[in-house]
Amino acid sequence: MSIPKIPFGLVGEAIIAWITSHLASPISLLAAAITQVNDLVLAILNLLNPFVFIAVLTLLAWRFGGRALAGFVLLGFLAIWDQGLWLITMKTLAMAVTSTVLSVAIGVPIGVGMAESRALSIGMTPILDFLQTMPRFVYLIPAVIILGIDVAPAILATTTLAVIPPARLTALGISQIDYETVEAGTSMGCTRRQLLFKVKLPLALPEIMLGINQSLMMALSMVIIAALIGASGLGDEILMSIAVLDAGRGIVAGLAVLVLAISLDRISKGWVARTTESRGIMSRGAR
Amino acid sequence: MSDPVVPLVPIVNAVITWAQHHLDVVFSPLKHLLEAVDTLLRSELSSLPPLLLIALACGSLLIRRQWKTGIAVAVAAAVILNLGLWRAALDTLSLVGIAAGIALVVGIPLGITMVESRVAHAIIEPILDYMQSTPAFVYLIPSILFFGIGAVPGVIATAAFSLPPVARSVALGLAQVPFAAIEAAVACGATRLQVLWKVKVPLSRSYIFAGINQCIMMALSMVVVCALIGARGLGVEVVTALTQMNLAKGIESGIAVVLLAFVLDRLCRPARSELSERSVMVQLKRPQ
Repeated sequence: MSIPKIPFGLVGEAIIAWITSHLASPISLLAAAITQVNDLVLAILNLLNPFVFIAVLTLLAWRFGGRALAGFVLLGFLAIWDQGLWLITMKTLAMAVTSTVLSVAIGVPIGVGMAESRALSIGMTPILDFLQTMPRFVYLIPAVIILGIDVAPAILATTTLAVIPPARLTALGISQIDYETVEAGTSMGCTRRQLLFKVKLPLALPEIMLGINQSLMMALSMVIIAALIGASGLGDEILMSIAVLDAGRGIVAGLAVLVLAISLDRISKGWVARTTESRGIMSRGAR
Repeated sequence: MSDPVVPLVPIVNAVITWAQHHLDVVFSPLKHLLEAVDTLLRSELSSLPPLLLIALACGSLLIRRQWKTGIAVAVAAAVILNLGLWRAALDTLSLVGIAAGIALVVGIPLGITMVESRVAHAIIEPILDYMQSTPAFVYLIPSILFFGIGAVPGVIATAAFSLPPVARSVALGLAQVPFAAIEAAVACGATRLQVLWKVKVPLSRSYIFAGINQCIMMALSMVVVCALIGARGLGVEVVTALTQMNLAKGIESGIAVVLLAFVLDRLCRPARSELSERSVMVQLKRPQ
């Protein structure tokens, strides 16, 4: 070709080299912090005896999803334990939970900002659109380039993806609040902060909780893919089984992922519905 | 840890062996067919000059009077060409096309059936639920079992992965058609089929298009992952870059995937006002 190649790769390499050499200490600090949080979550999960864990989860499932879900959770998790996948599953769960916590902690303030400030909304919407269109594989590249192959980049990549639903849904929830309600708050003399914390956030709670649910699901699915860059857990198990062509092992690990995903999804959805109901908030955007 | 009480792994392996022996009659022709289609599509696409394809993509948007988008798409495609990833992008495109095609052919009738029949709804709905809760990675395994390694298992896994949004959005779209419109048609003597084709489907066009768009985007995202099981295309570039820790290559192939996603998204997005479309998208995100 006559036209020279645009040196995206070289420029990118230079930028990354600059980042890794100049920002090494904050980056390693970030990685260490992420790893610490993940280790903490994992330690908490492993602190519980598997049976206690299963019992608690089954009760939660019963409370939020009814008897059928409770049965599914009980049998599913007993099967995971029986297959000797317990520790691996807990690793995956810990990473997904860590990413979700980080995403919600970052995403909800972004959503609030988007709802409160026009400029931020105009600035953030295309970024979120872009992040959402990006195939998931691509998230791994920058994370692995900056942080190398480890648990921290896997969680970082997952968080980048899972931050989208809380941000979007929080913004949606706040923007859907009736103007009259906000006006009533203002006329009662609410400050802007009071308005946010005592009127808007409580009313947007169903959407925010849906955001948490979606974030968790996205995180779970991404954590599995992130096995490629060193996230241990069920994803790694699947990857190994693909590599050694041990289909049975892969499928069983896949089923474990499915059990985990469905249990978490249904329980958290039930929790959203229950809270929404008990607060008497109409779940407007919840479809 | 002691041996599992239920020997799940051996059982699964036995089932697979059985299936591979007995169902090969079905899978083997399917595999050959899909391979042939893929080869044909790839050779057709790559025989066309890149600039012609870019012009076609750009032109189709310009005709719809989306000037800015048209130019952006042309630039994006040109950058892929410039990066030397054109062939890989076409390989990916071919796989996306076949997989999305299968997903649409299966998904649209599925969605219609879901709305028209209560029983079908009760059966299909939970299955779609399970499918959407399943992480992308998991789709690869059963697919490899029956189709081995290569492009075909990738296509099948991708089609399965991108099926639920199509079925969901078609069902959602048909269900939201105002009852008054249906009643009016019935009062005018329309048969059930006529109501479906001439009232319900046109009135839910925006939902169906949104579903097609989502299907294609999900297919693209999955096809890239399918590089792990031997599908060609941009995914291979990403995987090799990841495994070799080749920064430049990783960045370039990542950019190419994002650009391809951008091009496909814009090409398959119906020309309608941003706002109403977005509200449809938001609803699709939350199937209940």
